[in-house]
Amino acid sequence: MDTAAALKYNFLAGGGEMGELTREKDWSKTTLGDIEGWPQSLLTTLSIILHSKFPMFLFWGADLTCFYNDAYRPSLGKDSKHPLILGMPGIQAWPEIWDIIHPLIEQVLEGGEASWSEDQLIPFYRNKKIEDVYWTFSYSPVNDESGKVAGVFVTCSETTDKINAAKKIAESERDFRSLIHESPLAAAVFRGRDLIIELANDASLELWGKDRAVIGKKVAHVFPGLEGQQYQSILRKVYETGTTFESRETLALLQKENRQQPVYVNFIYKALRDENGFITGILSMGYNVTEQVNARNQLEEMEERTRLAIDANEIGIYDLNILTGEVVFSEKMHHIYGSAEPLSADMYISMIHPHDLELRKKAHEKALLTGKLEYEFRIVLNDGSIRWIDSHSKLYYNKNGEAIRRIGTIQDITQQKNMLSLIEDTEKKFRDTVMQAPVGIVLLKGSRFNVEMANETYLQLVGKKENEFVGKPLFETLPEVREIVEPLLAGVLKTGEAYHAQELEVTLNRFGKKEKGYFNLVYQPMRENDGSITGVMAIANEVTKQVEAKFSLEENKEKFSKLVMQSPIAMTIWRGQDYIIEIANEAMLANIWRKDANEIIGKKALEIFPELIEQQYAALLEEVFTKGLVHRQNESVTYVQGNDGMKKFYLDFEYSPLFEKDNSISGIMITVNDVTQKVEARQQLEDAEARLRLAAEGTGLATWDLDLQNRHIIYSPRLAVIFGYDESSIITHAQMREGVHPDDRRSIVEPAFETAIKTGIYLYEARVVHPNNNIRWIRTQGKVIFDENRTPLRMLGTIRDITEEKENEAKLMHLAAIVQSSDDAIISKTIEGIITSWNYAAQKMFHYTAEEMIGQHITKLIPEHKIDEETTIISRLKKGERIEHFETQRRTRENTILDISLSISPLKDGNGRVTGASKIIRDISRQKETERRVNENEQKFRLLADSMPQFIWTGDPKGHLTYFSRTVHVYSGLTPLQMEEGGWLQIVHPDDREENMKQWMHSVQSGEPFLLEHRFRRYDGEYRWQLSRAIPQKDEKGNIQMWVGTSTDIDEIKKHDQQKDDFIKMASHELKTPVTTIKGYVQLLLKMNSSGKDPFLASSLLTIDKQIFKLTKLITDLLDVTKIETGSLELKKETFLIADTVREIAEELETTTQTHAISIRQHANPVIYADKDRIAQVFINLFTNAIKYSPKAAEIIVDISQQGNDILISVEDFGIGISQADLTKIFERFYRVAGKDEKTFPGFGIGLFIVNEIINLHSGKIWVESEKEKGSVFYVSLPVNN
Amino acid sequence: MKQEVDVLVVDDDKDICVMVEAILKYAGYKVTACSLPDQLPQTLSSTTPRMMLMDMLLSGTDGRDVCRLLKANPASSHIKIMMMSAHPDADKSCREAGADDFMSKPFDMDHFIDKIKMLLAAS
Repeated sequence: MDTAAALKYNFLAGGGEMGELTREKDWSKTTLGDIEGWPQSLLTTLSIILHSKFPMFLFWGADLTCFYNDAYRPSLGKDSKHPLILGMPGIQAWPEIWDIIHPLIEQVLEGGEASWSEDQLIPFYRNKKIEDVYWTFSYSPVNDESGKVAGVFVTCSETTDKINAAKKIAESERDFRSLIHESPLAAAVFRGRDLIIELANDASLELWGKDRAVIGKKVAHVFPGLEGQQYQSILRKVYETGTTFESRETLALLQKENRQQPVYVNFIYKALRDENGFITGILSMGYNVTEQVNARNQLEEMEERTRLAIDANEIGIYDLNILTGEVVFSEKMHHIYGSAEPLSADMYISMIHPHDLELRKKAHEKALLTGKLEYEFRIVLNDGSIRWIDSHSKLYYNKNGEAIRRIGTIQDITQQKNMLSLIEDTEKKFRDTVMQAPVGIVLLKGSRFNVEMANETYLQLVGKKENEFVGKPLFETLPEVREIVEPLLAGVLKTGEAYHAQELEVTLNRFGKKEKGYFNLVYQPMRENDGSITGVMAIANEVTKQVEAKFSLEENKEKFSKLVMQSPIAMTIWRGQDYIIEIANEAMLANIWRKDANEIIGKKALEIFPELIEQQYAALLEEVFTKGLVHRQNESVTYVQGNDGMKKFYLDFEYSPLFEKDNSISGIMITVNDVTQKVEARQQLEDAEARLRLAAEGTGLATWDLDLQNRHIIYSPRLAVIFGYDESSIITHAQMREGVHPDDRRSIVEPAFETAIKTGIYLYEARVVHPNNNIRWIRTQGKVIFDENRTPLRMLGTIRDITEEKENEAKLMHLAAIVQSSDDAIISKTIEGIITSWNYAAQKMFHYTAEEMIGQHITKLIPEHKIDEETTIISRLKKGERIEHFETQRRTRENTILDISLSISPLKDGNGRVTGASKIIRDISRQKETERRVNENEQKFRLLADSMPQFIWTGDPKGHLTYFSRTVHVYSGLTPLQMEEGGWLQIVHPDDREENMKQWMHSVQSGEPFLLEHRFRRYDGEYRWQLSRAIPQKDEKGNIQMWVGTSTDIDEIKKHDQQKDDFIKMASHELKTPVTTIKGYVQLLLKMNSSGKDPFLASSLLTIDKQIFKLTKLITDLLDVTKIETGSLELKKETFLIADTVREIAEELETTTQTHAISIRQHANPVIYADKDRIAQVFINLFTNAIKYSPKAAEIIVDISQQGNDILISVEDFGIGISQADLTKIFERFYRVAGKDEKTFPGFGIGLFIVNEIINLHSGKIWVESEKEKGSVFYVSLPVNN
Repeated sequence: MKQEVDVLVVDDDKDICVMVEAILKYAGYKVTACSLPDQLPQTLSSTTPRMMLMDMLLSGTDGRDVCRLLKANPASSHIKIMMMSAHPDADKSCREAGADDFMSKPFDMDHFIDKIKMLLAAS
């Protein structure tokens, strides 16, 4: 290396890694050549670059060879361009950015000016990828020795990190702002000490009730008010202290849609700090928690309400933790369970009624399946009372589906339960009374006495099963009772009076044998609402056992009674040897001794009754006292000295010794039975009999004595009277039997007699028929006297006329039945107004029971506004007046006001003094309501009828007109009275009257609606046409209730119709006249040109002729329509061959139209009697239609056949057809099928209308079958035998 | 000497008179026409028709009245009268007025000539 070269290397000495690389590089292969050849300018520049600590780069020479220093190297990244690009031409070193930097280099090379780029993005390849790299750089020219720009010197610094940092700041700022703006929270930023609103999102503005104009303004200006000041002081505090301020659920008034709406807001004020930690502003964040607050408030309210409800309903609540068994009970629980202290769970369970434990178990088992526990049970309180509990609870489960909790309610439902059972009881009682009544009840319907219902008792009574008894006539099942019972039932059915029998003897086939039974019977008529009697309710009570028992009982009773009443036992005890009188009973004192107790008690008996010594008794006493044996003696004659003197007795007596403990005798008990009367009575039998007879006569009782051997009867004169004879008449026993009512003789008297022979007791009640046919009730009682062999010898007895008793009894029964079964409340009260009776209907009406009301004052039922009525009622009653159907109001237990009708009768005592009243109260609420509605409807109807322009009238079922609306009177000028007097017919036109009456009577008789046109005379004498209609109103049975009619003034319509008809007739006449001339000439000309000399003329004339035919037809059709409408289309009938006529028409049309072939299939050619022209018109129409509506077809098929008595002709075409919708309408007047194709077919739409009418006039039928696009078949059916 | 004709046509519509006259003449009948009903008496005094063809409604005169008069008069009662009209239902009332036949307007020429022929044959 030479000196110069060494020098050059010195230039490059040092310079770190890049200095070394530069020096060591073999430059000979580059355009710059060896370092030795490098110009000084390059070396100097490189020296600066390599020693600089600032990143530098140099492009040098023609191909811009690259140099750079150590400071620059990091920018090239790792494993990338460094150290490759040293000495490389620029374009090769920086291919990826050459486009960017080359122009900059060129600019410097050419212009020589330095350039400056700041934060320029120059992405290039480093770190094995293209990276976004930001640079701040300067390109400056380097001149060589010649002053030319030889290189570009680059100083640069990479600013990527700075740019990225700035970008991030910007992004975060943007994010912050958008966060604020888009936040659902109300967010705002107040900046600076003045709190200028820098940002505020929509939510904030909404919360503030401000718009975007507030941005940039001071908070103090935007919120000047008091509230604003409060917030400002908070904000200021945050600004000064940096402490975050939080507020929850602050109530704010939100301005929304012009009104203030309270909202709850949670908000936060937070200081914003700059990078140095200085506070620069406040971030305000708030959010609307109104919904949450409201929800919570509602929840609280709900809880409060539930709590109140629970308190009010006495509901106890418990919460059971199933896992631990812990239970929490609410306050109410132990109250319900009747305890002042809370109870344990076990105690609650222990109080459950033992009978309901099983129920509880089942409910719990069910709860395991359903998750719900619901049951009702009873608990027994400490005081022994029973309460009903309703339990409801719900199970709660954990994730695994195990029940963990049960929360439930407990409610005391005892009252409801009691109410329910009360209702059930009442119902049951009612049912029981009927069905399970201890008396037999049977309902018999109709004259055959069909058994409608029979209760169990009755069935048992007659020994039948329900299925063999109910639903059949009574006597079919019980033929054996027919003789006795049928007349009784028939009597009830006929007279409507209840029949009552006591101990009626009836022989029944029951339990497989014939049995005699005694029955107490009531046969009660059953009435329908209209009062007719349709059946009998029989109430039967078997008293067989009682009757049988009565016979023996009566005997015993009598004996007992004799013993007690007639033989009172006198008793005394005598003590000691001296017979000191110790005690003596009243019977002894009063009846036997006739002395005062104080005279004798404690005295010696024999001193008191010295007479005993004279008689046998002293000795007897002695014997009893010494021997200790009882002495008894009967009917001993004894004389006793009483205070009223000596008296003779017949005594049954007993002397009984009284023993001491030591068996010694201390006294005697004397029992004395005075039989004096008995003995004397027996002795004076005949006397007594005679006396009895006398006594009997005085009371109307007849006595008799029948010798059973010879039937000879001795009787008191009264007996003859009872049997309807004169007192002095002599009647035999047989006559007496004859006198008994035949029904009773067999069923009552004869059995009673038989019984008497067996039992000794004769007793019956029966009817006797007097010779004058009066029927009286008698009661016979007797006793049979038997001999020692029990052979009946005589019968003694009495007969009494008990007719009045019977009647009274029946009346009473009847009345009681009426009162009880009445639908009307029947109440009686004293004159003071105290209720004394109260029937079932009263209970139903006022909801008070008899027990509650009897003893209460009547005013309890009178509403306050009617209270004065009672005074009036009482004063009228006192005068003995009746009050009938007095309509007023009363109130029920529930204070509901009832409309009632009141009838009151005074009740009088035997002296005719008014002591009370009987009231019948009928609930007429419904009736009143109905009346009100009927009136309302009537009012409505009349209003409607009067306001209608039509006449409205009604008639009764017989056809008498009963009502005319006001319009009739206005029209006719007749007053309602005049109309009534003269009848409605007077305003009908005289010419119409006969037809009117005929039609009306026909309707009235047949029930067919009435329809007539007739003329009514107006007030000014003008008759106007009216169309009257009337329709019968029928009840559900179809009977006419009334006729409702209307008459409508159709005078104008009639006139217009007439004018129209006249016009059409005239028009058709006027149209036809010119047609006549034209047609005439055309035909004449055709004839004259018949040789065919001029074919054009001939065809023209033919066309004219055809068109004239059409025109004529149109005119005729129009006229026909008019005739049909007025009903003046008349037929000129003749007999002709129908098939021939049809054929002729077909042939004629074939020739005129020449487009279609009409083929006729003829199976018959009957003669018909019809209007030939009209029938021809029908087929001309049908054929022309067939031709007209099948423009693309060439055939029409006509089929003529006979079907029974009808000729059936069908006309079939293959044309456009008729839609289903139109099928039914094509026979209507002026109906034209609508549609695209059909519109192109001309016509009036009257052809088929006329055809239909003509066929109808011939009693024929026409119909059509058709399919769209396939064709139609018209069928005409006409009767042949006409 | 009265002129003898087969048919006397009476119609107040002159065109119809002329047309009917032409048809009947074409059919070979001797015809005279009267289109002014007022002049009918004069015409009848100068003409003896075998039959008359008369419209029902003549201006100012009812053809049926004329018919009744002619039929009531022994001098003219032998004349066959066929009445005609475009009026619906005229047939019945015309026959009631004594007309021997009725022809409704408009008519078919052949049918018309047939009717004329038959009536003349009966006269």
